[in-house]
Amino acid sequence: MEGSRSLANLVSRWVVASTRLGPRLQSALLRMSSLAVLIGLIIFFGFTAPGWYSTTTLFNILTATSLFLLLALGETFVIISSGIDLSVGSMEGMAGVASAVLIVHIYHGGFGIGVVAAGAAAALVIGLLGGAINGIVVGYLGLNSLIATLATYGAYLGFADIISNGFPVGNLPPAMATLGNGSVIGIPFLVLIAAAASLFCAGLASHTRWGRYVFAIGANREAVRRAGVNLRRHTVLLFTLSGGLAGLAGLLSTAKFLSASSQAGSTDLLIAIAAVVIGGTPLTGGEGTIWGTVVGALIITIIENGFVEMGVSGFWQLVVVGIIIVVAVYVDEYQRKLRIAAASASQPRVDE
Amino acid sequence: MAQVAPEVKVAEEPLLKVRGLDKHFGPVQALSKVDLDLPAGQVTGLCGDNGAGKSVLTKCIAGIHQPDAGQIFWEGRPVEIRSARDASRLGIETVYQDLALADNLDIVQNMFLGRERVRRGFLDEDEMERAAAATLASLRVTTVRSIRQPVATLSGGQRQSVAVAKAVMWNSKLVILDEPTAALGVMQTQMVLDLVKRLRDHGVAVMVISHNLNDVFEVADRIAVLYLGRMVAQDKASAFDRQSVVEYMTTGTVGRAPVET
Ligand SMILES: Nc1ncnc2c1ncn2[C@@H]1O[C@H](COP(=O)(O)OP(=O)(O)OP(=O)(O)O)[C@@H](O)[C@H]1O
Ligand SMILES: [Mg+2]
Repeated sequence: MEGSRSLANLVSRWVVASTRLGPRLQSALLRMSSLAVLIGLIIFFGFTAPGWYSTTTLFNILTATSLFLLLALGETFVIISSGIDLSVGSMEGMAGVASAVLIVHIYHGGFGIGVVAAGAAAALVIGLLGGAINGIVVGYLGLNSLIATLATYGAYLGFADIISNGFPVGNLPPAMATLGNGSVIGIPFLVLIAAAASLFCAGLASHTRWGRYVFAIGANREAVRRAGVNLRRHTVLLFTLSGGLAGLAGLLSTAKFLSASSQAGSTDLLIAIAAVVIGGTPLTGGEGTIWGTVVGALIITIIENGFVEMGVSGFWQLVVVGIIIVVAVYVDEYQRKLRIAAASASQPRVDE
Repeated sequence: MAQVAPEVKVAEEPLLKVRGLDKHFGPVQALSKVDLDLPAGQVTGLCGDNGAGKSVLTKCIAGIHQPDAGQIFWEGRPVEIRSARDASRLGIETVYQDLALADNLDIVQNMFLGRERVRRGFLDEDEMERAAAATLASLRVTTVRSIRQPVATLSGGQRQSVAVAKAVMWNSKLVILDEPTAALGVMQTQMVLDLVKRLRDHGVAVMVISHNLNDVFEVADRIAVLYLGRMVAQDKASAFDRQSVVEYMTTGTVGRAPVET
């Protein structure tokens, strides 16, 4: 009893101390807690799975991460603004299928670089359009994003099957294989693209007006409206960004597996949301970081990859991801409660 | 009767003039035929019981609500204020009863919300920090530890000060404060009232909404009273005493039985 009380005391003192650290240092520490998990996992699998430390493993992990990371990046913005986008997985499938069908239709032999460029453009445009439709339904019609994107999740899945008659699309040109599995100076294209997208999103989040509004909307939508910001346009752009990244993921998924199907992104939605949450972005909005999401995404892939190396079935990955989501959200809520308790305990200090 | 806006008593055109403003929400007539004058360099105290329509009137002037009928004149010219952006373009800034600060953002980010300084597309944090610090210093808001702390960590008075500082940062000509001293202690209330006087001395038109008549009589040059959505009295502060303001607020008139509604 005595011991637990003093432990609680210690914890609350630590929390009080950390609230004095200033927001930047605090969020840096939060980021580091998922970073610590990542490093812990790397060390753990290094010991338990012999020969795990290699550049092959590294690039396997980075490549496997890149596809759903693209979805997770867009999802991070949507969740920070206290919305959610459930349609990214089926949008990935729809964009992939549509670009594959187009490519197959216009390809007449050769390396096919121009054909692939046209397919890439199609995937992006479809992703951007699908996202814009989400944004219009949420921003202009005023539907809750959960319901709106649940509806388009179904619709986009249906469109993907309509386009492909429900069959996987194959027979893609060599240029597609190069995009999906090629590399420059040893680094796979997929990894380079995902890294560039992460950098872009991180800059957007912390150095632009638009990014600042994402955070402000998540905390106090009305304050942003009264500050004269066009919320409808902001919402459309938000979901368009998410959709565009999903479209890109659809193209790259098709390129990587040299086959496109409506089911390509079926588990990616869950994994993307898990990456966001594990990365320290609470579903309540107003807070979060892009780098946290990158770390969260890497944690998920490393668990899967490590399991496979250890001889555990990769199917366990989804089970573990589900468990991790619950744990991450619980830890997050617990920290928030501590912070609130600490803030009210130290209230008098704020006045003169 | 103090019923009609005293146009003749104000020598020059008031900065903002409201004539015949109507606003309803479904069956609720929140404002009916409201007239109001807000002259530059003067503090107007707007009084009225709960639900009298003070906040709605404020929001009509600030572009949050669109009036159903009536006209707003700015510097003598008829204007339509369709959004918060329109209002701030004219030089109208409002501090709302429900503060309209984003708790997760820091003081600087809140003060610049919607009007961030950008250089080559990127936020110019240093410049914003400098300007925010200068404004806070000029208003002698000195109790905050760091202007980079989130406003969630501030006391009520500090939050109110940030909201006021945010409103005056833009060379505004009219600043509207909806219950700026509610929930504040004695010292913090005085701090806000002093801030209001400093604004007036800078030639700014100020409208203060308050339930606290002590505050109203301390800072107001003019007093206007709303009763069930109607403007029942509007005159120089010296034309009122506490008793008459209370009577206008509670019955809509003085020296008579309550008006039928
Ligand atoms: N957005 C709205 N929708 C519907 N009715 C509203 C809305 N805003 C205000 N009202 C109604 O309009 C009337 C005037 O409200 P208002 O908020 O202006 O009162 P107030 O004078 O500011 O009161 P208080 O002193 O309590 O702040 C009330 O009856 C209120 O219920
Ligand atoms: Mg009010």
